[in-house]
Amino acid sequence: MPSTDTITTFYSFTARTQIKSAEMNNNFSAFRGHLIAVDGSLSALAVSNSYDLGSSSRYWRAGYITQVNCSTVSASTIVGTSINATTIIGTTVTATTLQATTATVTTLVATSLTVSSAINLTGGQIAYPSARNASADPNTQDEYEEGNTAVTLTASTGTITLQSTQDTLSYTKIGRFVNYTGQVVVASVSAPTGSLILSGLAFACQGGSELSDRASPSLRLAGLTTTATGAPQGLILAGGTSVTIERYLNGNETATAAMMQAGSSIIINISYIST
Amino acid sequence: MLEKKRSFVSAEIAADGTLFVKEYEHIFIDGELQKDIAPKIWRNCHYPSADLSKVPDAARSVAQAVWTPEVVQAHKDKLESARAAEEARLRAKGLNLDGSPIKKA
Repeated sequence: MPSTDTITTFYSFTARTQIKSAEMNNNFSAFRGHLIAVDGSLSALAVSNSYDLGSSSRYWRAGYITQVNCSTVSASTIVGTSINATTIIGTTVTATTLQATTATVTTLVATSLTVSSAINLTGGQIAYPSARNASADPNTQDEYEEGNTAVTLTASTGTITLQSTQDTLSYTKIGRFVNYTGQVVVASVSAPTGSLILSGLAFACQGGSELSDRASPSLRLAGLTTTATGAPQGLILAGGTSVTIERYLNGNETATAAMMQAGSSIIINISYIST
Repeated sequence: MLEKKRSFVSAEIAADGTLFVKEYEHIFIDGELQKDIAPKIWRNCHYPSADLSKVPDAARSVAQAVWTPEVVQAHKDKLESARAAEEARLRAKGLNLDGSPIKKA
């Protein structure tokens, strides 16, 4: 409040008190500065059409403020280029940069979010976009996906046809790491010989340093021809979307296609680094 | 009546022309989308010259633009090269493609 000795007309304001320009210039010049005088000893709640700067029960209709430094920010919607607070509580917080010791929000949209301690996911879920936003940073996880893919079996010569109801593998992809599991069953064959290839994996094997991209599956083969011998094994190479299925026999990898017949089944579990 | 309907999500083309198509499979009961049942993801791989009759239109148009005769031929050459390499490897060991010993004339 301006000094009382300069006020000649009244000592207190009522709602919607107006000051004529002549009196403003002569007796209320302090109001033209950047300070709002407030009596901090008052505890009564504000009434309608007034703004109580010391009360939590009344709100400004709207505020357009360049910078807010608060201990606690609580609102349904908080939008800012930079929000910096000890505690932020909001239904939706949208910010280019958000810095807070504690932030409790239902939806957080941020260009950059830095959390210096553990993230407490009370909802228990992290959702990624349907299309991967790949990161080149080796310390950044950029994808999670659970899905299915239909595969085929081929031979160097001849054909192998899978049962249409048993030709699916399930996969889980975490970042660049992908794992497949499942069983496929042969419906029919036509004189297959040479290499046995399981084709159609949903992600290509990524090229790595030296031979670091190579991976071998865990396999179980059943229902093969009666002449089949050896232990099943397999291989996926860089850039590939297929697994070569072989047998380890007499010290060598051995082609397997000729061992397949109607009813043959392959259970496979393979993990590799994908693109 | 329970129905499964697929919706196109994305198509990616690898450097060698391999097409990866991602779709969501949604569950409908009596024509109504069951939003509380999460869609199942299908991601399938199609090599150059593969049958595209069951591929979504958007993905098919991408493949047809990329699968030029040169790309298709390169894919066939790669398969033939792999087959020939396997055959040569086995013959060097005295084996036929089916793993049986080569009979001497």
